[in-house]
Amino acid sequence: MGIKINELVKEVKKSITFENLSNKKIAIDAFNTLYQFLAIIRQKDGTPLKDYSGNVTSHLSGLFYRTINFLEHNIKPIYVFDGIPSELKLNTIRGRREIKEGAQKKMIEAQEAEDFKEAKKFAQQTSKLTPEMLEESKKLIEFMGIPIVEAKSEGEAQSAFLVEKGDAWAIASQDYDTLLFGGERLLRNFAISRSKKVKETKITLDIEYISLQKLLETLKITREQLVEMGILIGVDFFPGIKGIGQHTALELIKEHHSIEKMIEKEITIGKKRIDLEMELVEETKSIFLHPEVNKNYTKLKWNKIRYENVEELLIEIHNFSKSRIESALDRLKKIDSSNVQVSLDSFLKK
Amino acid sequence: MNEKTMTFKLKLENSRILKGIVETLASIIDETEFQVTPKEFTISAMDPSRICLLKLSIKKEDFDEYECSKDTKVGLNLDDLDKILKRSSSNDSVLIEFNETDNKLKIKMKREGTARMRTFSLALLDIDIEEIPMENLLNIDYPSEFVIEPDFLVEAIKDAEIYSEILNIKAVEDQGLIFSSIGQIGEMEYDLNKDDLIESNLNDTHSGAYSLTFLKAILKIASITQKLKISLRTDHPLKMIFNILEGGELSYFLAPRVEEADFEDDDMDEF
Repeated sequence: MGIKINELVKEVKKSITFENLSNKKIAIDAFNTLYQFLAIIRQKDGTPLKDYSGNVTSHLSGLFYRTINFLEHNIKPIYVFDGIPSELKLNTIRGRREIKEGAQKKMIEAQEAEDFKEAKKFAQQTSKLTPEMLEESKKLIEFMGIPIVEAKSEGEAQSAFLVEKGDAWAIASQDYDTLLFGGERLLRNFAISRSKKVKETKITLDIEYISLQKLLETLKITREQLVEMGILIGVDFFPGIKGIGQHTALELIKEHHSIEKMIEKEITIGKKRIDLEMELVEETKSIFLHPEVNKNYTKLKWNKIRYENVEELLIEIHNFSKSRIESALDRLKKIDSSNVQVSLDSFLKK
Repeated sequence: MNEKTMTFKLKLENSRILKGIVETLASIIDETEFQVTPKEFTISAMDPSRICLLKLSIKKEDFDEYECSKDTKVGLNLDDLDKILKRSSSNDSVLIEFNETDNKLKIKMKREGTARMRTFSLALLDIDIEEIPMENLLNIDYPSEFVIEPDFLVEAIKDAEIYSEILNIKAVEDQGLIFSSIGQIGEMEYDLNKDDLIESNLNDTHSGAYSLTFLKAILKIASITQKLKISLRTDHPLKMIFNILEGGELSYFLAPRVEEADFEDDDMDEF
């Protein structure tokens, strides 16, 4: 998902921890995060967590435990939900749906053959977020006292707007597209704890912090040029050009400055001319550079957690383990009080 | 070794103090800088969430041996130093030596009355420590100040832990001091009247709520000191000063927890 520029950000990314984010407001791309919970939180054979009636609950589990983690670290999360997807993105979404349907079939086959490794692989591609699941996620977020912002269109664009307005400090998303939307500070591996296997042991990946300004300064390009690179490499709204990866895109944009010039100069990649409809290029660019955002969201407020509602939703309705939910909530109760921890900064500056 | 290139050399006959200090520091921060001048040895450290700050200074005279040819800063990993110092027993002498030409700190331990010497080296870190502008913090005017035995605070912290993550401290003019904590299962109160205080200057009523997670960091230091001066002011950082050896001091500042409505503390700073 999103633009692939993992190599290019290497030089500017910084490893940080939850402690560095204490007292900071973080806009979390809710869709992106919920999908990842669905993909990752699964049983051994790849089946997602379910309640007694067979409803999937992986997303609620992830949301609950991760949010508690944020609150324990004095971090102020904001969940930003996508609005209506733009026309261009619909094509990608349709493509994804076809992949999912294929994967579903293969998963059932693998499960029947008791090949759990295969089954899990395909299962992860079948993640579907239904309107009911979305509603329940929002309910849980609300019960936990966390503010929600509904984006007009793209969640990343809305999050970037929150940062610009000073209502959020950074954006949590795995998607580098966030940078294209002008999101000044991007946090990866934040909403989901990620681990990788090194010699049979699991190592938790650090939270990555990327500053857009620093990235542009280092690559010596403008944000508009970064968006054009996205069009060449491929973003959610645009498939990109075959044969152009991140390094080639950077070289091309530095040498020719814009896609328009590349077309004019009849630049070829692997004997094929770069041939793009300029109208489509401009349209894609404007999604990133002038996105539609919701400017009238209500003032963000972090309320007290409604313990009873949370317990009812998770334990009574969705059959989560009573003792596990209660002990997680007890951790919060211990730090929950009418007052909030402040940092020394305000006393250092004054 | 070549005395000419030696940059500093500090020795304490008893490792206990240094062990306590380093353990305390290591519990709030991973890396820090030792600052050594011909006159004193200092360390300043703020935890990554910027909630508490420690400043240690020990005068040259308090060391059993102290040599320093020029102002020097060395960055190091406190966890590693803590591990090394923990290898000493309390009647070992500890000598810390730094030679500008090699990028290592040397720690030598010697058992009292023997000639056995253990030498550890620790690679230094090239770290970029932010200069903490402490002036405003040091200039806060505290209306309530008192000196107590550190053990009282240790007891209060451990009592409060049963109930919550927060310790409330309240100082009342003409009366004394109350530590308290409230939780789901009940509450505790620890009263100290004026006679329990070694010294006191209490004006009006001042109180604050402070995180036990950060307070616990000072338990170790409290156990190796005899006097603790606490300064309190509502909605301000808690200030504690521990006397170390004869002329040394460890100052500890802890940001308060405050009523949400009164305080907008959104941290929008870079780190």
